Parts: sequence; C-alpha cells; structure tokens
Amino acid sequence: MSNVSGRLLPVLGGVRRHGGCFVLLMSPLLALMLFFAGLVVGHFTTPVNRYPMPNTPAEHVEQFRVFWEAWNGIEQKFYSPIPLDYRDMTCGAIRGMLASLGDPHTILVEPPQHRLETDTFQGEFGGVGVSIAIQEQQPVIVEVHAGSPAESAGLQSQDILLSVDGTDVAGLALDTVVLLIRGPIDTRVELVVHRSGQGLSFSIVRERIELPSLTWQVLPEDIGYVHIQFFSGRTGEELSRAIEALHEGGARALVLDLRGNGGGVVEGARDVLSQLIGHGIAFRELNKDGKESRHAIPFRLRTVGWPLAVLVDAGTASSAEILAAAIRDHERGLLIGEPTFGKGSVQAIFPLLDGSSVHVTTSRWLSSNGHPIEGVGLQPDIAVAPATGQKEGDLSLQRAVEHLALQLEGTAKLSLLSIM
Amino acid sequence: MSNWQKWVITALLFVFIASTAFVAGFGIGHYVLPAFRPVAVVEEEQQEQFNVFWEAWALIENHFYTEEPLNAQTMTYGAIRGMVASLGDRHTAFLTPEQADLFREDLEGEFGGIGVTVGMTDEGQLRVIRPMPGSPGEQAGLKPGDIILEVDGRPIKGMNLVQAINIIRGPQGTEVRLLIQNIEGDTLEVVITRALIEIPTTESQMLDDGIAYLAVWECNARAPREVRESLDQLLEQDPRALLLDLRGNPGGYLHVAKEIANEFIDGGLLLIERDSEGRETEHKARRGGRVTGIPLAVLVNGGSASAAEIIAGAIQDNERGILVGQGTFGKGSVQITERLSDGSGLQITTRRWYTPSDRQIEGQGLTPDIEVEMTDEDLLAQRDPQLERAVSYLLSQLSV
Repeated sequence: MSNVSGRLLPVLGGVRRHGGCFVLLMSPLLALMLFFAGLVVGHFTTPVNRYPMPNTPAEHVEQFRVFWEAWNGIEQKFYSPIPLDYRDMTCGAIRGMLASLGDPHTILVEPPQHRLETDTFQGEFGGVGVSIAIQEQQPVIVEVHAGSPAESAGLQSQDILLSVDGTDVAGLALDTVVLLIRGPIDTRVELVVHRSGQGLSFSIVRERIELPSLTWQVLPEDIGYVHIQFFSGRTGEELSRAIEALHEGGARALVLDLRGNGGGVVEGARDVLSQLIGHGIAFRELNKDGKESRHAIPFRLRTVGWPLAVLVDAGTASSAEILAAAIRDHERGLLIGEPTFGKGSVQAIFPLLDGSSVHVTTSRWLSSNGHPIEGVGLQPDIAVAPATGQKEGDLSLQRAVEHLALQLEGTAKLSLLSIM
Repeated sequence: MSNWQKWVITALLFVFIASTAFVAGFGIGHYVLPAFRPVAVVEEEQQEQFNVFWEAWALIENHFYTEEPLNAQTMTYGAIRGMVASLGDRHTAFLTPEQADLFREDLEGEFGGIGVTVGMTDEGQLRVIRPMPGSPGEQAGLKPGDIILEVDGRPIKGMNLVQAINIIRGPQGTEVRLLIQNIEGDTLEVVITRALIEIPTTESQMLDDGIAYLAVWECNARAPREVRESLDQLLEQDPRALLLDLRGNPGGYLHVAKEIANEFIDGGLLLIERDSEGRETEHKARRGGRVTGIPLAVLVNGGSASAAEIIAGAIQDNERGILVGQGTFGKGSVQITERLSDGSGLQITTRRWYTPSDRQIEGQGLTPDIEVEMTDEDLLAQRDPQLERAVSYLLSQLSV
C-alpha cells in the first residue's frame, strides 16, 4: 500500500509545484484528446439508420432498416453489367412482400396487364375489331371481326402489322401491340400493314368493341346451352340477349356451362342469378374482422323458369363457384361434372400510382347457405369422371341433356295430367 | 489575485476548453461525418418510384384478409427477397439470420445434416452430387444423380439452393423425410436421421507406381491446412506424379482456392477478377509451392464449381497439368456475404473471375484436356474410368 501511494504522490506534488502553468501547457493536448474522444463517441452514437430510407413511414423505420441495408449493398457491390433498374427492384420488392403473405391471389399486376384486365372486366373497350397473334416475331391479324371498323376499313386476315401510330411493332410483345391499337372510342389509329409484298396504310376510328363473355346455342330436344367463359360487367346483359335468342329458337330448358370459368367480376355472376332466381341471397362474405355480410340477388320479377342444369369442373372457380352454389342452394338446378376448384377468396383491385395494380384478397366468400368454398369447392350432384379420350365426347353435357330431357318429359306429362 | 483565485480560473478555463473540445468532436462525429460516409444517395426519382411500395404495403395493412396478424418482419424479408430476385442472378440471395448462420457453418466445416452434396440445376432441380462416405445420406441409399423432389412434404420446386439446403439440415438426431426421384425415374420416400456432419475436406493416398492421390472435397476454411498436411505426408513417400481430384467440389472461399493452387503453381497468374465497371484485380501465385515439379493431372466433372474451377483453371492455363474428366459446372462469379443489422445476410455477386488466359467461366465451365465419361454402369460397378485414364496419362508422362 505504502509503495503505491509513494509512487503516486510525487506526481501530484509535481502538479502543485508547477501550478496553472503546467495545466495550461497540458490543456491543448487534453483538448485534442477530448475532441477525438467526442468524435468517436459521436460517430458511434449516430442513429443506426445510416442508410437513406426514402419515405419510409416512421412506424416501419426500425423494421425496414435491413431492407435499405440490402438495397444499398446491392447498389454498391452487385456485379451488374447493365445499370440497375430501380423500377424493377421496386416491383420486385412489392412482389416479394406480397409473396411473403402466402396467398397466391394477392399479386402485383403491371400497368399493361392492368389495362388489359380492366378492359376484360368491363367487357368492352375502344378498338378496331381485329384479333392478332404473334407469328415469327411479327404481329399478324388472324381475324377481322364482322361489322367492325377494321372490316369496313378493309383490313384482312393474314395482314402483317408493321406499325401502329408510327410505332414499329415488329418484335413487340402481344400485350404491348394490343394496347397500342386500343384507345378511347372515337379516336383515330393509324395502322400500316404488309400484304402480299406491299405496305398499306389504314386510318381507322376506334369504336366500342365488345368482349363477349359467353356463347350460346340451341341443342337438340329444345335444350338451350350457354357457356359463360368469365364474368364481366356485361355478362348479365349478354345473358338476357342469349336467353331471348334461345327462346326464339324454341328452347325450354337450359344448360349453363361454367366449366373452365375462373371467375371475374362478381356483379356479373349476381346479374345471372337475378335472371335465373330473381331474389334471395346470392352469397355471403366474411371480412378480415370476422364479420359476415349477405349480398342479395338483384331483385327481378320476371325470371327464366326453364329447368336448369349447371356444368362444373376443376376449372370452375371463384365467382363461377358462387353462382353454381347459389343455384344449388336455391334448389334451382343440379350441378353436373367434377368437383370445383375451391377458390372462395375475394380480391379487390387497387390501382397504384404508377399504373400497375395490386390484387388484394380482402374477404372470403361463403355460399348463400353459408358453406365455405375456399379450399373445399363444390361437389357435383351428378359426378361425371373427366373424359379420358376424344371418343367419349362430352359426357357431362350428355348427362345434363338427359337429365333436362327427363324433366321436360315430366312437365309435359304433368301438364297433360292437369288438362285431363 | 490570490493563489486560490488563479487556481479556480485555471480550473474553469480547463473545464471550458475540455467540454468545448468534446462537444465539438461529438458534433462533428455525430452529424457531419455521416454525410461523408460512402452511402449511395437515393435520387429523388428513385424515391418517388419507391412510393408505390408503401402504397402497396398500406393496402395490405388495411385490406388484406388474413387469419393471423401480419408480420412486418416476414413482409420486409419478402420485400428483400423479391428485390434481390429482380436482379436475375441466381447467386445473389437473401439469407435469414438462421440461413446466414448455416451458411457460415458450412464454410467453416460442421453442422447437423445428412451428409450429401447437392446442386441446383438450371431447371431448378435439386440433384444429389455425392453422398459423403459413411454419412446418413449414403446409408439411406442416396445416389449421385438422385433428384430431391420434396423435403418433409415441402416441394423443392421454386426454392433456391440455400433454402433447400436449409430445410434439409437441422439439429442432429432429428429426422428428415425426403421424396427422391432416382436415375431410373422411380420416386421413393426415405427417412434419414440427421447427424453431425464434418465436411471431409481432403482424402489422400499413394496409388500404385508412385502416384500420389489427393482429393479436395470442399474449399472451406479447413481446406488449406488439410491440403498442406496431406501433401507433406504424400511427399514423404516420394511420389513421381500427383493426381488432384476436384470432382464434386462445389467450391468455397476464393482465398482458399488461391492457397491450394499456390501449392502446385510456382509463380504466375492464378486468376483475374473483374467488377462490373471492368476494373481488374490480378491474383498471382507465390513462389515455393509444395508440389510444383512432378507431373500433375486434375480430375474434374460437372460438380466441380467455383473455387474448384479456379484451381483447375489456373493449373490448366499455366500448363502445369491437364484436366481429365467432364466439363465443369461454370460458376465464374464471386460473392461476398454481408451481414445486415438484424443478423440476416445478403450474398451478393460482386465480381466475375476469369482464368489466367482470360477465359470466361460463368455459364461455360472448363473443358477437360482428356474427356472421360462416367456412366451409371461405372457407378454401379464402382469403376472409375476417369481416374484410370488420368493415371495412365501420368504414367505416360513419367516414361518420357
């Protein structure tokens, strides 16, 4: 002990001896040391968000820091022979974020696809009325629709499209070409095509082009057949026209073919129910807070009273399942075919700032009786195994026709009975 | 002025200067220095671009139907994965903290697993390259060329190599269920108990006729020491030639590849690295490797990748020895693993490497000087025509 203090004391004594002079001499050195100490402390107490975090909402700054660390790491170190595309990286981030939710229906839809999708759901768009396909890198007109502005202008099938409004279209993706030709109704589009060795120019005014969502025909034994491929905002209107035509063709029963129908705008399905049932519950919806709401069938006094059969298969999904389930729940007809897909989730489409859109699963559909559809699907009332070969023909349709023919016979006998 | 007054003034002055200095230092360190740190400035355009992301995020928060509460970390990780995937480089990948740990273990040498080297094909198939001798995978009957379809019921399709390996590995003593498609096309399920796997790094022995054989299975952190020790042991037996087996070596550290190549090449270029701006780094061999004089042949195949290709390429281009076997994998890129602040990692492709004579490896691989196939029949009959061919080549060199 004494040794230690003995060593210390002379130092303290030294300070005393030289007094303020010594302190003043030492001060710059000490100040310098303290300055650097401050520098180091300051450096390491810098808030950890050392990375620029553009517009990151305050509540996510902590959580999201690693994202910007990764973004910066890529920006500074990634081997990329071409400059980084920040738009792609942003879209990638959105896709990845949505994918992490584990819901295959919550997705990002890029601007061109969003526009095409909007047209499809509206069931109409401004266009010239041609179908095009890409053949050997070239967009080629494969069909000119009857009565379309393209037909009046003189476009022909097999014309090779060279340019649209001055834009060279060779080598472009089909979606891109289609979107160039489409545009607001009553506007003009300039097309240059190549036909048998010469270039021809056309200037065509775009008109309202309808995108049919269904086809129909009268089958033997007075059975009407309607195949709804998807549901658009115009499906209801199309169906009433089809039924009118079927009626004129002598139809007394209806096969509603929903095979391969992946859904679409649910209003389309409700409009169909309106014409077939006329009132009641179309479907129920369970929202994310667990609340159930009921959606009514748009009320209608005059409905189609024909015996009805619905064809379903593994491709029948979403709005088509809602429609099929309601028809069965209201005992309006039987389901014939294979078990359905089982997509009972509802997506809302939200447009984003940059023209793309996000499909977000916002709720679950339940059938009008309250049965879940998601992951379960509908079991047909009359199961028909999928056809294994071409020879067997359309077994589901045959079963439906047999079933309806029997019912028609039954009503005929019944009416005969009542007359007697 | 009395003595104590002077003393107080001096002390006050001292405290003032000291605190001013500290505050000035702190201020500069805290506020000014960060501005000089080499962080990329996010341009306004880029910022605006990114608003779309938060728009989508808010939509999910407000509208997404989910039975479990949203997990912001999962969403953030998802965003990183998606952003990284948009770059279109299969070697640039995000690693969760667990994956980053596994990855490090792998390069260091031991982990709980089934002891099978696997690779991801361009078609996204997880293929068994080689079960390690005596490993649980070998005992369960896994064979090179088997395709792993599912792990514990989870399909491999759509996963990257790191994710696939991650779910196959796990604590030792636990079981993993694999759905396998073998070379004959049959699918079968195997249940394997995971064990502690020490990645065997080298295997060495003296073959007949004074030919030394050294296999390097991985270029992990343990490899340089094991290679040196093995070579010293082999050299004690005065070999007349050396056969270096790099078949199925998936690579590892770049510095390890250089150290191993150094043992065989006496000075000269080992590889050239280039970044995306075309800046070059030349890596040269030291003089005084252990085996620089005697004839050398290197066995390679489609499972020789990355660091293994660096070694093989350096030996081939320096005309130090020849390559025998099949074309190599073709991974000519260099990755660094960055640890992010929460322990997760980002594997980033930072450079391409080229052989000393400036051949590109990425997507092309090395072509052996003597091509020898290894057929399924050879595997079944436990024949090694590649090794036989390499030995006969070395013997012909000796007789010259």
